[in-house]
Amino acid sequence: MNEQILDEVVARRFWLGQLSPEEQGRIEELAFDDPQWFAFLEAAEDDLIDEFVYNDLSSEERTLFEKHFLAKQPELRDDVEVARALRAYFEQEPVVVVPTLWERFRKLFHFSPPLIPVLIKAILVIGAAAIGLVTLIPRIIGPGLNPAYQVQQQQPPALPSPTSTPSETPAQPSPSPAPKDNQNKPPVSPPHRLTYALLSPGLARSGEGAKSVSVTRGHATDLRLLLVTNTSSRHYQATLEKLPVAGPAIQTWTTLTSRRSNVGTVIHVHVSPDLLEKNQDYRIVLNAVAANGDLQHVDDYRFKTK
Amino acid sequence: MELTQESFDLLLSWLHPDPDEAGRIYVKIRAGLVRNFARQGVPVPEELADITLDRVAQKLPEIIDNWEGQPERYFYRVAFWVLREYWARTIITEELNPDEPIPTPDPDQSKEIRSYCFNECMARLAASQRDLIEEYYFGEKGTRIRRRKKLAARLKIEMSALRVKALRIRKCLKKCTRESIAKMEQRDFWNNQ
Repeated sequence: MNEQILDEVVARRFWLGQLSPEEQGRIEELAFDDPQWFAFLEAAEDDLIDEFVYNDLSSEERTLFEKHFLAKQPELRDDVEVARALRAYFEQEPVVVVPTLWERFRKLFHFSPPLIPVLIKAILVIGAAAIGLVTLIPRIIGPGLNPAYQVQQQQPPALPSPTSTPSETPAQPSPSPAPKDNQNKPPVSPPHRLTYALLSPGLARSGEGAKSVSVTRGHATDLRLLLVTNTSSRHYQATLEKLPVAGPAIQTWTTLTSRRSNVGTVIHVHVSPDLLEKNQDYRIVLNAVAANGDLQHVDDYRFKTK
Repeated sequence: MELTQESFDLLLSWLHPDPDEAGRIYVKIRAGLVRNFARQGVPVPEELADITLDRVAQKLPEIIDNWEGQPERYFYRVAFWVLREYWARTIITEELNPDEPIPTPDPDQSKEIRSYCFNECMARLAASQRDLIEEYYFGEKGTRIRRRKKLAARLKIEMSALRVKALRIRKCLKKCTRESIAKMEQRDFWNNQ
């Protein structure tokens, strides 16, 4: 016996019960006699199960599969479940990758040309509204414009990506129109500072030239440390430690995800400046979190405060 | 079901009218079964050969009137299914990393348990095995076929050999998933007591 009696088509027909008893028997004998043919038959069986799970079978094959294949070998339901799990494994949500604003913008124009007129109209409307506001606000507020409403926001100097999803951007104090009656004025929000620091692992290894991060305590300040890595993991864990290490970690972040930027993969760590002291060395220890929860050390990122 | 003297006698008479000759044929068939089970990689070929002989003896009354050809061929047909059953419940797990224990997670949704266990088993595979299985099964039908051809070319093996490799890993995954689910169900059972 040889491959002339057993090929892909025959193997499928074998499992679907489409062969005569004589042909069926010959294939059973062949497969028992030769391990290669046995494996061939089993592989064909797996392919059939996969096609069932992916809805790739014809309606006739599907009926045969359910009535002949599964009904006569109920233990194969396990195999079907494994195939389903395999499919689900490949359809899991991939590592979070946030496209840059520029990418999104470009994609919008490349793939949705009909949106361009809408976009232009929207820009015109927003522009007109902005001009109107700029003209009207000084008249409403008058010359005594409270400086507290001039939001001081430090733009990210080393932002690796011109992107952030709206949810990542900390809520900025919105400059609501001040009432004319200053006595009923709401409490003044302090100026809000947003500082980004891009940390690369190279600096951590040498220990020299560690990034200096300006810390202003006692203010509503956001500090984002952006850890650059060339690893790829679904989740990361980061631990902030004071150097030299003497005591427990200051804070640990357990479910960080990576984002793609124009400098590579970056992990955002949101640090409250209240945790930091001035003129002090710190490091962030970054670990990748495996599917089973195990931690794998990725790199250390040093920085100093001023 | 145990083999009775009556069914054993029927089996011998089917092999040959002369009891001595029938005995010789029986021994020869058994030796052939043992040899083939061993060739298929079964560590207990004699045990499976005896299971096959018992099963043929039990089935014999159903087929004896219509059977044409050498009786030996029927033994091989039955042996094929015995072998399948054996592999279905005994799968070698040496391709899994024994240092990677299966954790005892606590997913709330029972319907997700299988998927969870499967993912854990994927994580326990050696990196090369995981890469192979991911490459082999990823993508839609057309893409899968192209990827498999490329993969076989890269590994410098025939497509049939690649299929067998993937099949082996998949069997490991199946067994691992089944065991992992059983462990979780057992734990739930005791938790509910």
